[in-house]
Amino acid sequence: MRNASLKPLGKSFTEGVRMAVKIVMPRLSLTMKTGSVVRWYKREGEEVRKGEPIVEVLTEKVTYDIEAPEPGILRKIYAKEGDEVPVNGLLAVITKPDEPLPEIEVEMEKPKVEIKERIPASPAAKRLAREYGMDLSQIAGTGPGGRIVEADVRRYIEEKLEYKPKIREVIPLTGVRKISAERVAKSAREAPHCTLCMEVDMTEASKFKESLGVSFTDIIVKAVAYALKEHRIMNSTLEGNKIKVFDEINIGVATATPQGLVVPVVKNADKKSLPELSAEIKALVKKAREGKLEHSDVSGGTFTVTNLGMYGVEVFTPIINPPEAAILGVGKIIQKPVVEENQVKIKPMMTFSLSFDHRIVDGAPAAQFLAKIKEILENPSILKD
Amino acid sequence: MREISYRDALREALREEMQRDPTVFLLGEDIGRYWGGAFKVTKGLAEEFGDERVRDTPISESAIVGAAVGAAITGMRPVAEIMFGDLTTLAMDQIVNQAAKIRYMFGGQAKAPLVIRTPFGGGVNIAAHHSQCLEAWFMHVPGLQVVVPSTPYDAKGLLKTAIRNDNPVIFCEHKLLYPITGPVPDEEYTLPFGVADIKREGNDVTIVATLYMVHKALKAAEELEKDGISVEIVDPRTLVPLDKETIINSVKKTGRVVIVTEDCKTAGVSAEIAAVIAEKALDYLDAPIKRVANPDVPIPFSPPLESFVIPDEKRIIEAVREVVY
Repeated sequence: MRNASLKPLGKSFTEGVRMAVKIVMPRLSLTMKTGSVVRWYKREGEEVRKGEPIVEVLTEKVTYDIEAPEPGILRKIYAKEGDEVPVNGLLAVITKPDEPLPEIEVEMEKPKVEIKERIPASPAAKRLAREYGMDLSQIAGTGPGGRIVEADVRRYIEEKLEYKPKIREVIPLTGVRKISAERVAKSAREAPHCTLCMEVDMTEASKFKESLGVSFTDIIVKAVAYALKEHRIMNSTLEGNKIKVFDEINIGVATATPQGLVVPVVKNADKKSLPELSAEIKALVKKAREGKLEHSDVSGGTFTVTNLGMYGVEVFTPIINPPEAAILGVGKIIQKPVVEENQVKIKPMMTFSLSFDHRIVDGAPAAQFLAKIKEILENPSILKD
Repeated sequence: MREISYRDALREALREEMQRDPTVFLLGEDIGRYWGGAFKVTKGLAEEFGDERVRDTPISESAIVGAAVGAAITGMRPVAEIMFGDLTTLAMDQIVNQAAKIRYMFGGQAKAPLVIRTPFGGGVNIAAHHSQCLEAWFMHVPGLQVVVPSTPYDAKGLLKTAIRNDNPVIFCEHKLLYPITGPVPDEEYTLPFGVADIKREGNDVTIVATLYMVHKALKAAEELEKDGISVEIVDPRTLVPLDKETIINSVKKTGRVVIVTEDCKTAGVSAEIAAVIAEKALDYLDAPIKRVANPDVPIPFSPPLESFVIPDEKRIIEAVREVVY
């Protein structure tokens, strides 16, 4: 059945007794599935000599003359000029001069291969189809010769159920954006996140802030560092089968910059005084906004604080900055009615959102850590030393 | 607004510029007091400004342009008239190898601010030597500016700009435009080079047309409107510099374009405009770019043959219908 040789050979029709010879479409390349008949050099009934070209066939790129493998009469032509014929499909039969045409099962099945046809479409139609991610082969053209015009694509887009919005611009995922994307995806994928929220009365912290001339962020970073000293497990990382608890408390401060989110790190935050911390955070944030952070400024973090309060956000579910164990989200301070000693009082309340990696720590210790932060911030004078 | 002819608008531009700037003078064949120019554009100017500033020349186009180039280099602003555009061939070395290159080759230390006014175009049965449109030749020469006004308003404003321009300007007029009238304001104005004018707004198809073809396109557009086809007509007004942006924006709006010019089709003005559109707005074309231009033959003397050769409203309408489907 196979015609493995690239050389187009007719094959014996009846084994043993060499009589009628089939001429079939040769396989001229490994990828060839069909070929077409360009022209017949011989007519039906004409005599052919061995080696004489009888038909020209065309595949993807080349034309090829098929020669008569045996002398005889070109008894019957099965494929007209212009016909597309699959590889090994019957083209003609050569017989001996006096031999009748044998009964041949003509396997003239239509080629099954899909032929990629050029779809006539105007450039404007192609542009619109491209913008909407439409497949032109699905669209009927109304232009000359069935050419698809812009109006056809527009109509199709409007009628199509599976509507795809038009693309305005394509932004390549590069730089800070790409790194962020990879890191948050990794974190969200690997670390089971659990977020606890707790309201903190910031009355004292506000006074404390005023008296020292530092920012809430400075105080919160300091409070977190303080709390981490008592809740070491929150300052750790999971590596394979080991939870490694860090000795250093290095707190990242998530900072929005024109290039994207960066997290400069305050090293040994627990060992620095508030004014020191404040100055360092100020310098780091400035560097971040100016795009001047060095690698050492953003590496070595063990815990992250992220603040969306300035945008009016109260509560959110931050994604842990891998490979850390937890992240503290800081919300907006809002004057709220609070019941205290059976009286409604208006107090400046701030909500903290602590996301932690549940593989490392359970809800109760995480809650205790958060409660510790609350306790510190409601009694901030302990941060003074 | 008052309406004056294209011819009178040109004369007004010349008069105003001569009044404004004493270095402006005219030279050409029969432009003086005895004839006032073959198409009467300079009629009366010799009487007003004297024979020194409106100079009749011998019949030598090369001498006319050569003298103009020399005068321009030495600080004058000559406006030369070549009686028929076809005869610029006789001055081609002066135009192409001298005028166009002086500013460049002297590194800007010398310049040749001259204007060559000349009528192109057929339709008046004066045969192959007096009916051609050769604008494309000059578009091909760096250093030349090529102006193609189609209305009295454009003609006046652009001629004044041409005279003040520091480059050699080929100011292409058209014989059939001289008697055409149109609104021209009393007060002074100039028109910038490189700014096309939309002579008619429409949505379905853009026609880019120049010179007299603008008027044929406008008539064709009226006919087409009866069938609900809305035609936008863009008149580039200057071919060098060419206002590509206006052309491209119009094509982006309509998606179809017919370019109508009176020169021969091969390597003509329409070829350049078509190429610009294909380069800059291919993705907005909803039909092939269509050109209506003269076939590549000399303009016949026989009136029926001449009108067969030069594009008319019917051919423009047919071309529009071919691309609006």
